[in-house]
Amino acid sequence: MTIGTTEPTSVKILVVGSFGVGKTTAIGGISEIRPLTTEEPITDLSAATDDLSSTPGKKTTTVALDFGRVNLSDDLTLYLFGTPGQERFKELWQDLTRGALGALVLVDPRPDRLKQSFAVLDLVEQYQLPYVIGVNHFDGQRRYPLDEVRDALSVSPATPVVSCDVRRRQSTGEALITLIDHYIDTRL
Amino acid sequence: MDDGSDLELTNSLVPYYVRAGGAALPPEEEFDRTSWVAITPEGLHARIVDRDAANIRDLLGSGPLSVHEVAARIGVPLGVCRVLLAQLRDDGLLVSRPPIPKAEAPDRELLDRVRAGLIAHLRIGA
Repeated sequence: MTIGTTEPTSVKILVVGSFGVGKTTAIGGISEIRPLTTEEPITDLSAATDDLSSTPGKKTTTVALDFGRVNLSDDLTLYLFGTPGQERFKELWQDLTRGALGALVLVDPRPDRLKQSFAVLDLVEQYQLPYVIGVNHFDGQRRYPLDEVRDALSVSPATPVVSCDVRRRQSTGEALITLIDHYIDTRL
Repeated sequence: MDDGSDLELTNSLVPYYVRAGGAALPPEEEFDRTSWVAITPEGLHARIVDRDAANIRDLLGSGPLSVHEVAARIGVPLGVCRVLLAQLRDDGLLVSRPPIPKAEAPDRELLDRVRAGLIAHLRIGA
């Protein structure tokens, strides 16, 4: 490994969303390192906070953080942090948002799941992060028009809402590029 | 406010309105909670009639403080404090500095490199 002539730079993007929405999958798909996750078996204790009714096969949950890395060039590294929006992780958000370029907010568009994204949206708004909404379409479910999802979440018309199949790394990558473009459009 | 009745002279908000000299709040982005305020050399020696404003001047005599702390130390609500600070600023007796940004904002060149890097990494069309 050679050392570049320029100072290495890193950028940070958050991948956020409610429980079971696919954050770990999204980060794992594009990270060069095996994502460092802290998945733990779901226990009865988390039943009060983690609603399993629409993800019955889910046996583990990310305790606090997913971490992934993409070396974009010799001297530029992208770090991805995934974290849930539960109230109990609020303190973590304070640290994570510092210096972050923005957030990809993953949402599950099913009507009974969509409302779980509100807490996360509140947090990104509160920390004034540039963000895009990635609508993760799950297996065998009908596809919800993005406009309807936007209305249901009542996000501003300027906020991009894109379809994002987290199992496909290209799809996640495209959502991240949308975020970069959104940042360029709104903050520069 | 205890109820929805009209503002009367006995209303608890009135004293604050008077203490702020009846002036309107400065724009939201000015005198943010974490903005720093400092007294100017002129301010140190100016004759200030308003008691609260004079207290602010005395408080800042020993160095700059955050808006939030000024309000707490002189014992007025944040809104009143912001009004008073704006007036002192307009009179040239006080300067303010906006809060230090959370982190250095990325520039266009960096964002372009991130974008290009992602496209190359994922081999996707732009």
